[in-house]
Amino acid sequence: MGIQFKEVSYFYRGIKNESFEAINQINLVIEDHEFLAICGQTGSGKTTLVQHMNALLQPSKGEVQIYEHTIPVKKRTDKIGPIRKRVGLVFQFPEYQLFEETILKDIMFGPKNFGLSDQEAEQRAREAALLCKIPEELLSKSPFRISGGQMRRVAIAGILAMKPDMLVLDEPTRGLDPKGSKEMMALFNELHDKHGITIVLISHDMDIVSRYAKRIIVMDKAKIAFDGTKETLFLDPNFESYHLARPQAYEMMTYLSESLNIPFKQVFTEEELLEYLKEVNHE
Amino acid sequence: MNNITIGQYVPGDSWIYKMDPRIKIIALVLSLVVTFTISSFNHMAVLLVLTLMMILTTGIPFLKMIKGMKALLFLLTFTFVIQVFYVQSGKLLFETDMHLSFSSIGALVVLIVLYNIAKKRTKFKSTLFLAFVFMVFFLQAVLPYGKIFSYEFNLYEGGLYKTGFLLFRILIVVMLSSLLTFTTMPTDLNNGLESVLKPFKVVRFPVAELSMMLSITLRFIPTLLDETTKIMKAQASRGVEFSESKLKDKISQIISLLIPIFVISFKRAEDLANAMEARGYVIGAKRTKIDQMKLGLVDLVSVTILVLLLTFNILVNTGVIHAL
Repeated sequence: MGIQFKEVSYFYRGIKNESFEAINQINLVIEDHEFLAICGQTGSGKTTLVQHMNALLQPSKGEVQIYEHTIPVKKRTDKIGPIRKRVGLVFQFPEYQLFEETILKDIMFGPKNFGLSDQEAEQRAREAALLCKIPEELLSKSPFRISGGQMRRVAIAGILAMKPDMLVLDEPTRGLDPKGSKEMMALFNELHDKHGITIVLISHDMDIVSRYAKRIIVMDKAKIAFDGTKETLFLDPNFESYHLARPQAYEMMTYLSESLNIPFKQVFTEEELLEYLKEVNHE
Repeated sequence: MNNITIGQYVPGDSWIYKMDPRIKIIALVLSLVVTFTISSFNHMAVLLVLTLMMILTTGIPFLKMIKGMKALLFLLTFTFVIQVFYVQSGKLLFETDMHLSFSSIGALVVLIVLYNIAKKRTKFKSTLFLAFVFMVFFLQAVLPYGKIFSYEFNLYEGGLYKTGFLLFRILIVVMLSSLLTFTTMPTDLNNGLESVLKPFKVVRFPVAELSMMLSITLRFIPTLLDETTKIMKAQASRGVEFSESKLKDKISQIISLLIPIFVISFKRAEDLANAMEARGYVIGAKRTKIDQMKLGLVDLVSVTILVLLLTFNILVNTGVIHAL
């Protein structure tokens, strides 16, 4: 088992000491090797939720079990550092966290913080760079002299170099061009399929979510409003209240079935739609 | 991170809020001049009472004012101790021998340890600090056993007056200045300052630019704090844990925080400059204000009172009127 939330609430303090709930009595289990997507409106508590996953925030109430660690920590001697090695969190616009002289050094920063020697850290950094398809010749360059998309790859490589068991991504494709975001998602999919890394992804893009995620969670007003597969999500009677869009292929299918009287079938990607249309055409 | 409040505006609706910010700034300067030209203890005491009365009428919670003083506690105590020891004039009130002995040094060490333990437990830190300072000297007076070195402590009337005089002066200055920031919004303060400094334009002092810089700085403090928290969290998930790491590592960790902040601020500055230019901002060009400042009756009265106080002061100082 990866992460378990037990009745977790988190309160923000306002200026006049009043409290706002960011998440409220969350119960959630994330198993190993899952590909989970978290959706929801802005302000619904998604980012607060994922920040609990590597102990950046400590619950105001309740408990989070992260692998063998329990948060909040009971004893003073329990350190939360090791948790962050196992759960890598990639923030929105991670390119802003770069600071080293060279890209290689920046990727090495994480592993070195967790006590690896320079050689080990460098080896891991090179592996992570290869995984993220950062060209070898870029590694000795300054991270401030490359494009935004590449900066994001470097930042993600910096997290991957820590070899986390779980990767938590807060809107990783935001601000990228379509090609860039496609490549980015292909990378995460590869990490999940080939390397068995658990992926937790926050995204507003339902095309991406329904193409890759095996399980979808919808946050609404600090609570989990929906937890299930994509097939059930789009048929959910409360779907309209989640303020989510349907994937383009799904919309197209709806339109085609209404205008051409093709029997409706749930499709989530363009490929699935094409296949189904061919099938229908043959009959 | 979120405890830092700059300007510390306290919303309210009393007469001082209706004052023109320009007059408030001028009044502050005038009253500071008055405070620094007073030379007798009695006058200073009267001025302190006047200041306290004024604060009571403004509706600023008195506790908040006192909380602001807490930062000064150390300075005030230090001044007090130095003055009491070194000013030796007037009537002798009290004298005793102080001893630095094995017994008193031992007691002092115990006291310091106790103080540091108690500091973490109690809420009344200021009271505790005062008690601590008192005990430091009290122990030296009552424990002469195993003497190493001793000195005399003489308390003179003049010393007490002089100390009171200085403490009152510091209190008045701090209270008046914080009253200005408590009751004036940063934007108003900035506009007022720009207006007050206008005459310096004659000597080519860039007043408008300065006030623009000031308001931009104030505006971006919360934004930058926000960014800092974000970067801190991002680096924390890369293993930077300030509370759990050694001093040697902390240095490189601070760099990992500073560089991104610099990069972000430069980027922001550039964007802001472009946005301002796109909306027609030209450095040095004449600008109109959305809030026109108007002088009212309160402004007139307060300035008159201050000018009267100042003239009285000058007359006393030059010997035209004899002091009480």
